[in-house]
Amino acid sequence: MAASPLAMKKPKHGHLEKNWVGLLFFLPFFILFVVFTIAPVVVAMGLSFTNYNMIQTPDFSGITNYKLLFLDDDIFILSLKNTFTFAIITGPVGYLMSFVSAWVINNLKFKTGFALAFYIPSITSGVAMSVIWLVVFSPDKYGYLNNFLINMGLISEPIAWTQDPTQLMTVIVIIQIWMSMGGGFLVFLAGIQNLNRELLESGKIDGIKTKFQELQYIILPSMKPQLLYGAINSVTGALGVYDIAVAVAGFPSPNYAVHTIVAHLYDYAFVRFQMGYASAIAIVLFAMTFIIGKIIMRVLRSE
Amino acid sequence: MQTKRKLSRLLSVVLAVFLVLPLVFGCYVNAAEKLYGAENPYTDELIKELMDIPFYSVLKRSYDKAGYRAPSDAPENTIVVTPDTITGENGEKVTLSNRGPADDQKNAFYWTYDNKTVTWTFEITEAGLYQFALDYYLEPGKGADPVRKLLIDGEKLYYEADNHIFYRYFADENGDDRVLNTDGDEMRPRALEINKWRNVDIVDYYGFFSMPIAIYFGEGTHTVTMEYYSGDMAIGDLTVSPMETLKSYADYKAALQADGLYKQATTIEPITFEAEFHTERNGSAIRREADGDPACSPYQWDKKILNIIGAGTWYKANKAITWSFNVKEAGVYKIALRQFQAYNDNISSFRKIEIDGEVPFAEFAEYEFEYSSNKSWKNYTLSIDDEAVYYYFDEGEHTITMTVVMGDYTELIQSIYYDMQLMTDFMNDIRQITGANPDYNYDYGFYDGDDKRGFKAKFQMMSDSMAWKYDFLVENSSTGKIPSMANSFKFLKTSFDTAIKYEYRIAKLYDTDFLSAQSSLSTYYSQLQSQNLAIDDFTIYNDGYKLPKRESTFWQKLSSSIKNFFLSFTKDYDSIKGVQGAAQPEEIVKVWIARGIDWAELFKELADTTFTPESKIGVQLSIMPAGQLTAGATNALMLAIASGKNIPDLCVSSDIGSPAEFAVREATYDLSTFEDFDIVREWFLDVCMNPLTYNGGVYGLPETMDFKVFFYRTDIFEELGLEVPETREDIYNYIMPALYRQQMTVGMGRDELTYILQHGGSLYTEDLLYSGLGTPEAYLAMKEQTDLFTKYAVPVQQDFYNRFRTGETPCGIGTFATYIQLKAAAPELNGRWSIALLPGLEKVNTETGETYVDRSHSGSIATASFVMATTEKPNECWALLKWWMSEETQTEYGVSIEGIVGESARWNSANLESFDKMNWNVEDLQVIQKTREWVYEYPYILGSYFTTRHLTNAYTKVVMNHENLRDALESAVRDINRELKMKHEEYGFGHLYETEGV
Repeated sequence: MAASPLAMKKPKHGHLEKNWVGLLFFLPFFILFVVFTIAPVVVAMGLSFTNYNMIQTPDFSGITNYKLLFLDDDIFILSLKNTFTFAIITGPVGYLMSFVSAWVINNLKFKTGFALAFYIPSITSGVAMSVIWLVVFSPDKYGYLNNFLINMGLISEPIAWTQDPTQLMTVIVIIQIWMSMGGGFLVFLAGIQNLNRELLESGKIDGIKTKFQELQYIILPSMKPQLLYGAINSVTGALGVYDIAVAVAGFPSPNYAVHTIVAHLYDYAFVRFQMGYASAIAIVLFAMTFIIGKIIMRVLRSE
Repeated sequence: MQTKRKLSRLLSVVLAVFLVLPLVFGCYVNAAEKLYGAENPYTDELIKELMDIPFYSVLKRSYDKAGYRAPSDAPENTIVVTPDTITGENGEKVTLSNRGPADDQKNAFYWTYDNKTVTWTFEITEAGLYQFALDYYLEPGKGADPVRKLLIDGEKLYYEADNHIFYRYFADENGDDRVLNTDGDEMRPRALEINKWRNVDIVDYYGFFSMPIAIYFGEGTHTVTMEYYSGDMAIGDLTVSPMETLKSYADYKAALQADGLYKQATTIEPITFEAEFHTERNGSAIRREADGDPACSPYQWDKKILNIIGAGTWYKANKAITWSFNVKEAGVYKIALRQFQAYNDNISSFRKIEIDGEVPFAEFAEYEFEYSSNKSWKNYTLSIDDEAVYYYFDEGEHTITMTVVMGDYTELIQSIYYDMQLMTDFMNDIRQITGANPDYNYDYGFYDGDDKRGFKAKFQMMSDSMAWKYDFLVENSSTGKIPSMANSFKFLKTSFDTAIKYEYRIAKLYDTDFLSAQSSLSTYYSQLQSQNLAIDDFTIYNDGYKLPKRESTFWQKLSSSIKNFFLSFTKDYDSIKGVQGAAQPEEIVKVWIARGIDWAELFKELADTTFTPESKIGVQLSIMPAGQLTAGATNALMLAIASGKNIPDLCVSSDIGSPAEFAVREATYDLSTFEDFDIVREWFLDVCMNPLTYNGGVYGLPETMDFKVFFYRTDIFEELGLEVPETREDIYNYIMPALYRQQMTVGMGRDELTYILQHGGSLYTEDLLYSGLGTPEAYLAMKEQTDLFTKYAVPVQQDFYNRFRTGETPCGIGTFATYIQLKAAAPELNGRWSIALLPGLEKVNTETGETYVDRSHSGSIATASFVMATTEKPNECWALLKWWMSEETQTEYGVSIEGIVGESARWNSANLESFDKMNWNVEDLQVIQKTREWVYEYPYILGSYFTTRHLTNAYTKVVMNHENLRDALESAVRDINRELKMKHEEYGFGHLYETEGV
């Protein structure tokens, strides 16, 4: 009878009285979450059925926005293609790289130093990093990369990295991967470090000789929750790429070469003052992310 | 484990030693010691090769060498040339008129631009060195200080002769009083111009020579000619008198003792007066500042009191401040001032000190204020060779004037100038051999023929010059430490030494080290000419009074900081308070301004002092970062409008697209509904109003203007024998081949609109409903534009400013920003570049049959201001906006902000009259004015952002992806038309399309 109230399973009407302390702790986060995350999503859903230019009152227009979006908007399809290219390349690659770096760093001395070095790009503002990358990728012949390639004799004319649509995607992908290396990195590092030592030792007894085997049989299976977190993180991150693309390629990018869904959304919301349409795009993006997230959860749970 | 612990302990000990040792050594190594013993390589003969017309200092040295002296003080050697003998450009006498303030009218010559030159003629009976003084009077409110060029016997004898400035003098409006606002903080007083006839000596504008310029005249008739450079003024008598020679302090003291005046007064009480209460100054930008040091007088820890003068704004050569004080009892006194000088690392500041308008002895001609190495205020007595100066004051009013001069640093600054000239010369020479892209691995043979090109000699000269500068700074360092600038010179020396030793490294050095050396040198050239000093108060005292130290202790400063930290939670720093005790304004207008602090504060000051008292309308100003007032982003303004809360009444310094964008959504106020709008409209260039017009209403006023001109390096053009191109055909056929042969480029970039306008096309059809890019004219224009990058290999991206400096891109098209950048940040190019009209397209006038060059272009407005529609005080906002854009306010603002921030803050007002009054070079201004007839702006069109977007896309497709231009334009037209129609329908203009049957 002296068991903690939170541990007992009680009928519903006693639940609240017994658990009110816990719920009280939960309340601030809950309120903020509802107000700043749930409510805007609901409002966006509502706005997506109207025409709203942010200054005058919205006026109802039914599913026109969605109709236009799916049937008539070439640029949206283009942005879908761009975003998925992004997501498919940077998502898995970034994810893999952060995991591999976490695993490698775990085996080195000076863990914290290296960890810091890898993690810093992702906590710094994307715009600040882009400025530095712009110097590297400057279309001027004095930009670092161009200069290096010209000096090596590999090219004779500077390549317009940030203006040529064919090169832009490559540039942004490189920058994005570099920035996303630190994404789930800390989580993976924590997961690896918190591994139960006994599992490793018993694995050694069972005949595991190389580090790779250790990785495959012991580390990965016990890190399911972290892997899940990292995966969702990188997917949502990849789908929401915007500020780097804008800082490097300009807005809108030449020939919409790196026009992502979020960029398209910004275009409609703030340049064209069509917030209703932008909300529709936002809802579509939300639905996509939600579905992909659900799929990932299903996959990583059944393994 | 034992060994591990021992090892780590050993490691930490070694580390500690390694960290501490350098600190210990550092204290010793930093002691200043002359390192090289090099001589200044710039002999007078060499200087004459580098500069056609050398600095005045060189001229003076030649006089000294020839043994010229001032003539005797005989009365016939002081000649007054009256205005009635002045001759103008063509040699005839000029017309005189009565000029001056109401109580002091003189018969004078009012000199405007109509008279290019003015000449005085006079007879010299005794040969010798003579100096000049001129009577002049400046009409109030006419803008910047007039500048004149000086020619002796028709010739320019020295470099500084190009810039003789005749200053305006100012005083603070409330004199010796402090005006407090309702918070108890002191409000900065307005600068009142003191207009009266003044007699000034002709001095060196750069402050290199602190005494008046003296010229040698032989016996006979001579002339002095002045050329109009900028600014109108009235001139009176020119006085030619023998050069003043100063006695030394020792002589002065001996003379006093001989006269029996060298005794102390009996009163012990000192005479003190605050430095911020000054009588007059010759720059409106020098002003009272607030300093939080607890030992300042007066000091209140919780209130902002303007207790010092100088600091950041008193640094430019020839800027002077005058103070007056009363001496009750005659006697010799010591002069002390509480001063602060910790601005340039280990570099002193110099001042010319005049008492009662005259320099009393030679040591006061260039008085050194040493750098304070512990960065603190010092209550400091003027001394010579560590002995206090005793000055005799008789009973009555006296004045002290301090003027900024370069003092001992003159030689150093001039040598940097020579360095820059030498560098530019040999950089040009190197580039002629290597081209603009030197191959680091190729042996160019710089030293061939026993160094017949003279490179080695020049590098040696540069190396010696750097060594000499290092030694100079180290020797003259008053603190005994090595100034950081000296170390930089040492570092630069190594580059040149490397070039001398390793010939094959020169190509790489040219591209890297020499380039940054040029930047460093020009930075130091400006930095050394900034001689800041801050003064708190003066104490005139004699030996009976012990001068207090008045340095705040560490604890005082700490407690002041802590108290102020807590105060920051309660004190309101944002809104402007009215004058304490004055009537509060009846209405308050909320203004948001998107500019930096200096700009916004000046706006506030001007509004408080010139607008609010008359109109009884107060201004509440909030400073916003740039970009917070534009349409097209989630920024403060958009959020305010969307939420309906905290919307300002007036937005100032926003971009030009925003007023109309907001107008479409009915968020800005139509200014054309005001009665006097048509009058106000006249102040601006007519086409500037176009982008602010929407649906018949005008929703903003332009604030600043831009211009587009052709920049070119006059020295390189002269070298290559090129002329300024009139048309773009000239550039393609004539300039480009000449430059490309030298591996130089042309600085042309993307500017589709200009090309389209010049070819006779338009972005839109006549009815402004459809895209005009489908026309043959637009096609030709885009073809020319894209050919620039595909056919003529103009680089797609280049940094014009840097390439212009190195000479790699000796010409190109730029805007106001480029102009200011070159003027302010590239002083070594002074006189080596100029601007010309934009090269256009040659056309034939169909009516008259004559050919002309069409130079149409766009892009003439930079920023605009607008009134929000939700305002409840439209009339008050309009009154404020009218005041802000009026010529008087804009001129005062422009002159002040340039005085405070420097030349880089040139105010390009959209008010045409005010723009012209700024401190422009007359020839440059004429070019800029001519560009105005060719400007065209489009009115605001719904969906216009799509045009720029698709023009860029078309350009990208052709230049990057090598697609067909016609296809690119066709798809652009299709998309633009669709967007235009959609936007028009959205805002209720769809009916305009119905007649087309679309």
